[in-house]
Amino acid sequence: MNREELIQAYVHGTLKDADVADLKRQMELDKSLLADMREYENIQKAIREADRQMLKKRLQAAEDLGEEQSTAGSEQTTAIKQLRPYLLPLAAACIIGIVLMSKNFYFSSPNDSSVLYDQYYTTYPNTLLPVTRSNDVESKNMEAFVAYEANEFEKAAGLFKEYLNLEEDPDVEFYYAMSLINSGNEDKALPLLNELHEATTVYLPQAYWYAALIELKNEKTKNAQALIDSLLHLDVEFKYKEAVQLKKDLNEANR
Amino acid sequence: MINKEQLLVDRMHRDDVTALDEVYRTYRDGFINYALRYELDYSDIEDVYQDCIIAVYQSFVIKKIVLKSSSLKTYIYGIGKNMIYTRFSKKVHTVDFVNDIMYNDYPAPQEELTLEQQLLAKHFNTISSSCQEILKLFYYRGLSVKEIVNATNYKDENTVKSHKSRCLKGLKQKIATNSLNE
Repeated sequence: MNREELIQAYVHGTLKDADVADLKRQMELDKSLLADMREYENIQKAIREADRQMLKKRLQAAEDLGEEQSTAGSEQTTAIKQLRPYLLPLAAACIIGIVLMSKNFYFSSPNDSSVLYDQYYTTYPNTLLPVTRSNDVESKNMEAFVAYEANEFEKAAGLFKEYLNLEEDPDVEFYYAMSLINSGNEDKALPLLNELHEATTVYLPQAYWYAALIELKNEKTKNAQALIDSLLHLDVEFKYKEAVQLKKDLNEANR
Repeated sequence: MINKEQLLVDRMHRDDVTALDEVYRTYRDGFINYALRYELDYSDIEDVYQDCIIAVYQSFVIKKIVLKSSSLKTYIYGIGKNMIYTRFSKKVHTVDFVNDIMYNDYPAPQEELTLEQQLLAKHFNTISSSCQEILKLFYYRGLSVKEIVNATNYKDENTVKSHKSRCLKGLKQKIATNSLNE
């Protein structure tokens, strides 16, 4: 166990009693070891506090949402009861419409790139920042994610851009690209996603996947295939099954 | 411990925040009904319960606590009662309270932060999300550099080490700049 691992194990309480005693003796002799230990503890406590504040907002938001839903729930039930006679023909029309649409979808060419794009494309959820629905919007970044979660993608794209002018952040860049795709600006999103392939980001698999889908929509199937291969090469769980299936679909389309 | 609880605990060990939501919902009503016996305001109890669940969750993430003899519910109630006693000792009847629980068996609420720790916490929220992520994995969850490589898309251990080092340097610089400006 190296010095860093020893400190880590001590602070997280996973060091054996005998090793703890030994480490304490070493710290008495080596003041730099003591300083490193204190630094580790300081950073850990700070992150714990930052995380605590974020989790508190999350739980408070859940409480607020629960109260809103319980109030809205009773009003909604009454409204549905009142509308019921009108809903029956509407529901029948909807079912017929859905059946016809699904038939059209089924019978259209499965090799058509735009059909494949529609089949595989889903908006990527916000997994980066928890959004609290308060008026206390603390930063452009949080504001952008609020817009993103509200499906206001044009607004989100603008806010992400403003934030990225101030701060370099590949993870947020991914959401900027996603906002551009969802507001119909795939051409602007593609170079951003391609840049992310060289960056340090937790959204690297996602960047390959969505770039592949844009290339697919642009009918550049070879580029799409190369991107899918890069994604599969990462050997990660994200969209693995879909990527394998899409690769098969593209191979069939090329025959 | 029943299997469902063990699964929840495993998820908390992995810092799965949806496990926090589930634990919060599962024990919420029971805890609030229980705490009402101390004649505290409903909003105070709700506040304590939120802090209690967060403390429980963070203990599992940081200390990787394994429940041997007590259930998750007992652990939550232990910490929650401890918090009620610490915050409202003037309002609740201490004798009844001490007779009712063995609060010494559970961790005390977190101590106050030093000024340096407060500054680190404040500026932690302003660094890039990939920096937050890597520092959190290392310092908060206690993952080794090798474990971080396995859990993320970083190329190798050297990439993790250099990124971590850059992020920590950036965080310290922000504090230094802030201290000079204030």
